[in-house]
Amino acid sequence: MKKNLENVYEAQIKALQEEIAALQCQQDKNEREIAMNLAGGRMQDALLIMTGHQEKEMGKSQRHITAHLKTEIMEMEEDLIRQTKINGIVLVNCSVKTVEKGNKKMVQQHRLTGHCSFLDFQVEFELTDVQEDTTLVRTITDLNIVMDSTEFKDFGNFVSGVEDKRDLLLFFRTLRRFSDRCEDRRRTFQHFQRWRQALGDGPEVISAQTEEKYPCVVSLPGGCRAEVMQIKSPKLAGCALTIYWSIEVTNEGDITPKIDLLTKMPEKVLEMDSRKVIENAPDSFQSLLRILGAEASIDTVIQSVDV
Amino acid sequence: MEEARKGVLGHLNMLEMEANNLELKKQELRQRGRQEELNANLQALLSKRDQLKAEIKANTSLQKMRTLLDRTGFPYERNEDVDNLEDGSDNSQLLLMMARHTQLKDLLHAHHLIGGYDVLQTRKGKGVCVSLATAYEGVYLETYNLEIDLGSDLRIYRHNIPPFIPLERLVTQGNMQTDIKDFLDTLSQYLNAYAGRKQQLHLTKEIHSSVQVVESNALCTILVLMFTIPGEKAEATLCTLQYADHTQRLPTRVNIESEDTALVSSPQWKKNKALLLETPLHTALVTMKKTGSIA
Repeated sequence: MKKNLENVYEAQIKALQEEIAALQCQQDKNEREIAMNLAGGRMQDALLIMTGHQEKEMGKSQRHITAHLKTEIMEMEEDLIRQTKINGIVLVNCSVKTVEKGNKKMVQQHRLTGHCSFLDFQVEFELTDVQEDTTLVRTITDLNIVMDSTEFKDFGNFVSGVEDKRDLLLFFRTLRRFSDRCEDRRRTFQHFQRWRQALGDGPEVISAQTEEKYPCVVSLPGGCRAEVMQIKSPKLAGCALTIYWSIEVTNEGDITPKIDLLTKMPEKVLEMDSRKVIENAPDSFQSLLRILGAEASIDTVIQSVDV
Repeated sequence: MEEARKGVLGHLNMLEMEANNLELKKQELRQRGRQEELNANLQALLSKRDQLKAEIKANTSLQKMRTLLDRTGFPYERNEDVDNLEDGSDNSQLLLMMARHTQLKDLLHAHHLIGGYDVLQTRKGKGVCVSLATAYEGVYLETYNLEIDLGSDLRIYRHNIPPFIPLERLVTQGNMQTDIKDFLDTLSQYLNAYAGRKQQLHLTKEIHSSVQVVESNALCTILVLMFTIPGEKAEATLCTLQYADHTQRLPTRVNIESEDTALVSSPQWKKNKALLLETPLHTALVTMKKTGSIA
């Protein structure tokens, strides 16, 4: 009879050990899904509360822990604002999954979404950390970037190159500078669009009906974020000046804004151009750019049509 | 006599019986001891299992809350989904905060990983520390730091940037006072280009043992290599790479010198020269080995 009791105990123990092993397995899996980053501190305390530990055994009250957690959260939010500001990149969502975790090696899959000014991105990368002797070697072992800005073909080529080379840092460095140059363009184009509006009584300046009213029409057929600005004078029918402002990006992340002036004139006008002013206009514009810069040069062109 | 023997036997019997009794009692005690041990073991395991179950439950709730936060964004508003996750206890507010904590930690770590400046306030807000990360072809390399004093003028009072990087020039001729972001971007460009060139040299030494590095400078802007040409002649061929633009990781000039004058002007080597100008050094050498230009 006594022997039976022992057997019962031993059977129960074995069953429990199996159950615990299974639960441990599940917990390991869980930990790979969300990085808890416990290591003492507020989260550790909070987790203890969540799992039903009594205040007495912890020596701290729940209110105390909640308050401290709140403070830590506020500090992190302020920190995030600081980092966002100085990095010029807004990160909206971030998820980290642990793919492999060994004694000396850890592989994690990161997924980020965010934007840099108006350029949205979705970046997935695999990060491998290997402990070698005294140093930790960190490598990006896979990189995948998705951006909607399909209109920027140049940038698209750069992105493919950066994916191949897994150069995550170069991507973000270049993205920032590219978006700054795009902003310069947008601001300048918008300035002229508004300037034209300011000259008139209202927003009708840009419409076709008022062409006779105002001497010159500046239009942005693709919007202020596009590459093209058109300048037409209704008095000179068939004559159009186009400013092409492209932003080139090399595979190494070098950014070069290129602004070109193109002219479209009817045959008769070209024939009358004995001094080749129109023919030389694009080159003259380049010289102007070098001396006056983008905004002043474009202003000069508009003024010259605005006769 | 008989009675005396009966007395002794009886006594012996009694002793035997007592000994048996004691033995039985000892056995009982041992058994009970074992049982108590097993019971204690059982209790401990039960407690561990319950603890694990509670942790898993908490973790699962935390994950659900985090997924929700990620989806609805922050600041979160009390909505149906959030309320559903609450079990009516104080713990639900705690859960929300824990989820937000993990979200913020992940976002801050991400800023660091993508090469952010990790700006840190120091000296009670009177200074900031900035970190400049470098990487090349996926490998994270050295991180450099600057400590900036936030006086009426910004001033760098501590840093570990190598002397051959023109920090001084960038500070005095650059726009650190008016546009610190641009200043840091430029400095980062120089540092990353340097790290990239250095890494190319390191990989070349590691992968291409047949290529001898004759000369290199600290900034890795001048490199002289000696190639071994396959074949019977095996003449010395020197290749000089100049990186005149210190913000670039590719050379601006490549010069090939060889005792074999025909080699330099051969179409194969004209191609090699172009390759060295457009491709990172260690990668270009792989191609040159494949095409049999070098050993």
